[in-house]
Amino acid sequence: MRPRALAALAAIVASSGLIGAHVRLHVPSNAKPLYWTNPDSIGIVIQKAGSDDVPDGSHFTALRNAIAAWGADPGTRARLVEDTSPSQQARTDWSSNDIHLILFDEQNGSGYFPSGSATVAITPVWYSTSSGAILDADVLFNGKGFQFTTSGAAGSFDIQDVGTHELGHLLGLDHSGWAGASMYPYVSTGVLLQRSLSLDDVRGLREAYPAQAFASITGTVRRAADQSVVKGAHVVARDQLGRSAAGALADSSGVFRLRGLEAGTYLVYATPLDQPVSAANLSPGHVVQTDFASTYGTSVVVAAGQGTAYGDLMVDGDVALSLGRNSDVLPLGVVAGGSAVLSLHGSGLVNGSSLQPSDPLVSVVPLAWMTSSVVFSVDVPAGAEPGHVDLAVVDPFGGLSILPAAMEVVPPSPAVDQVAPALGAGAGGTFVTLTGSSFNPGARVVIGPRIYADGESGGCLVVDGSTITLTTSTTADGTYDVVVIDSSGVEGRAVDGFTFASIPSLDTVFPPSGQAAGGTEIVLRGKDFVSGLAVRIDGVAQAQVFVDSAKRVRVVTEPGVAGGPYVLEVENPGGAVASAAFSYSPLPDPVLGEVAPASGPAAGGTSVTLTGASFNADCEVWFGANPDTGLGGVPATSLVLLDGSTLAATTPAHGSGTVSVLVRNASTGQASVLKSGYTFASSGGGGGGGCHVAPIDGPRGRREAFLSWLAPLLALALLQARAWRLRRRLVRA
Amino acid sequence: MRIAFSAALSAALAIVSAQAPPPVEAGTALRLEVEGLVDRADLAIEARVLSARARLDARGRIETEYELAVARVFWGNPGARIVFSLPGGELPDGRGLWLPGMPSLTPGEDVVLFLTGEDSFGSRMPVGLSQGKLRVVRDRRGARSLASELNGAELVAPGGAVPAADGIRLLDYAATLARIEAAAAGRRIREGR
Repeated sequence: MRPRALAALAAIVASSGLIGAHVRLHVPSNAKPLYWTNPDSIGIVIQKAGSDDVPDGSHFTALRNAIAAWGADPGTRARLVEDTSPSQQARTDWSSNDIHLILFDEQNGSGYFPSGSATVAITPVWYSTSSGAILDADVLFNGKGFQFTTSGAAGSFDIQDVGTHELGHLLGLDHSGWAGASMYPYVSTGVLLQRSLSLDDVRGLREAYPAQAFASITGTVRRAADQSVVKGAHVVARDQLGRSAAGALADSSGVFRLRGLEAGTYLVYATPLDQPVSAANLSPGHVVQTDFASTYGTSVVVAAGQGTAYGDLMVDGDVALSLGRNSDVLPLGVVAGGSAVLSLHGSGLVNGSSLQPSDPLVSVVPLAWMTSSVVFSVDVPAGAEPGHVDLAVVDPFGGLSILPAAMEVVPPSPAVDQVAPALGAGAGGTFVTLTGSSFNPGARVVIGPRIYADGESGGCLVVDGSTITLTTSTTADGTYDVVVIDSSGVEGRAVDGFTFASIPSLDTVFPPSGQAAGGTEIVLRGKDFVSGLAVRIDGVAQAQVFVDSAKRVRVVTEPGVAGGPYVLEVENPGGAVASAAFSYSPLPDPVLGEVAPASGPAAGGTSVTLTGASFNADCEVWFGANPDTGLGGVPATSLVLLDGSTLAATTPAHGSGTVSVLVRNASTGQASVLKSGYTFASSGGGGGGGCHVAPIDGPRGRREAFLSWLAPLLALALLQARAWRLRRRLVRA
Repeated sequence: MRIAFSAALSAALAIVSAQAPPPVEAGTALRLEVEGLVDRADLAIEARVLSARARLDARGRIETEYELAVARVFWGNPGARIVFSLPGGELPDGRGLWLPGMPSLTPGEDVVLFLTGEDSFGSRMPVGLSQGKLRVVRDRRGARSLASELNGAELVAPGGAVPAADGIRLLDYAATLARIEAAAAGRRIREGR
């Protein structure tokens, strides 16, 4: 900017205490920084209802990622600890001191989002004026006035991005002068890069809640012209790779302190906090003078955990030059291995100027200087490390203006090409492999409400740049996007990439074979059958399907081609399939109509006549078999095929009770069951319809022995007449 | 070659100009020009802050009640004096409430304010948080400017930046008030008032 013409303007801000790296919220009346007294476990609750723009509940995952971003640095003690208890998530009383709530205010219940306010989100912070201790803080999204998204919906604000910024306020941080910081004051729809913390955000948290001793650089900013101190100068340290490494505002004595540094060599420079961030973006009480030009200092070497005195950082007089406006969408994202044409607004951007990135590996070529803006191309080599790059403009007169952390180098966005399998049980436990590209260590995979963080227990494993594996956790049935979020904030998404569904399993198909003409009722036993499921035999959809329970399904078969075995498939809604075998027989199904007499002693030995249809020499008769599976039971002790509709059998010994009677073609598996076809009476009791015969000693009583040879002779005459009558009845029916 | 370059540059400019949705201030609030502030305001005034008093409102929240002497009305129908409250402030009992992005008013300062309607508790919100306040500042000769966070090409005087004071970019007082007046007139026409 050019020299001040209004030097005598009234002071517009009050005096301030020391401001550390980054900018912290402070008590306006005494400049004491705000802080949590329990930074190790700051409780936070995500309100269950979330945003009505995101009905799938994915606000949870987005906000959990935002919470995780602030807890990733081991150099700070600050940890947001989510309380996931349903009772807390159901609360909406955000103003209560005992809960720190993230809430979407859909009806302006807070009163902070009246019509016309243009406020997208806000974080009220309660504090003690005497100590600066934070008493309560909550994050409120204006759900009434704005649209929010977790899936990149156009015209909507990214919940994770906005949430990350607001949580920084909740932790006690003010806005940052770094264009690439999460605490940069401006955000646009579609911006994702503020999801990830910049080093400036990290330093701010380290300064507020250090977990260990870090190196620091301390000095004083002075005007070269008269040695006077510069209040509120924005001082930045740049590392040896040319990346933005730390920032600080000088205090009202011109003293700056860059904290939270690792050992290394840093180039220090000062730049006025005038655009695109200014004192108006900070809480009241900061003195910010801007009547000087961006000025490079010298490099300093700092040792681990040690403080280094820089001395005086002399700054040059003001110039009519500045780079960056809040109308610019910052930071300027540039992809490693890619190129882009970008622009920035400013002033004094005239022909003959030069544009210089702080990272020498990054190439910047101006395309057009238009006084109030500049258009330029950027090329970033493949493999360039993620991070922030300053951009400096030098005008033809040697004037310098630096926009700290103007560009953010990001890796290529992950691409999720395949998710295999794409279906898993809601109970979890499915091992899933994601294949694609640009998968980097530290990635987080989001599937529905679950986050799988690289390397964490229950998380995912970034195997290499093209492979991520994970084992699913319990998740409600449904189809979800599979999102891979890089630690830089960029993401790749497989829309509807994975489905959680009940996966059926088939234990038995009974009978396992049916007539080719169709019409066979078969019973499928298994588990996790869901209403609405589909059954196919050899690919042919079965029209008559009855889901009796999660464990039992009945199907009346469609006609098929004799042969097999064919694949019988059960497909639940959602696509989960179980399969078994089924065959079509050229023979008609046996039909068991009646067993007479219908009861007899449990000791067995009763001659019974089975009448029906389509009996043949391969038929066998079982008593007490499971009518759904055909398993179990006891075979008749003797069996004679009298004709195609009559079987003469002798009952076996069986426990008392009414049991099924099964006729099965042993060759084809076709079967017919009378579910309550015969009753074995306990000893001493008479069988219905039969005469009572006293039991006799011996393994095989005389009556039984007698019947064993007499039956073929007598039954032939006695039963054929009865069978003839019964067949006539069936025909009429 | 020059033609080709120009075509490419034009395309690049078109891309650049089309890619940027307006950023919002966090806060977080929409970034608004003067016209946008007027369009959203229930009350747009130039006034002097007479007093400020923090208190607990009926909801148990800290708010600061301001009394202002109204010097000019751009939109709305306030009297010569207006009393309203904004969220935040510090109580004598040692509790404070701060909402990042919220502007504060200091007794004695002259301001141009863009405020939302008053709720049932007598509270208003500044339109666009800190953007809803422009401070009137005077140089040693008494010439007035407006200090604000608003910027961009429309705020840059021909030949370079408007002078700034302590980090606040200054707007030409008369020109900005003219824009406000024009915006208010346009709104009256649109709304049939």
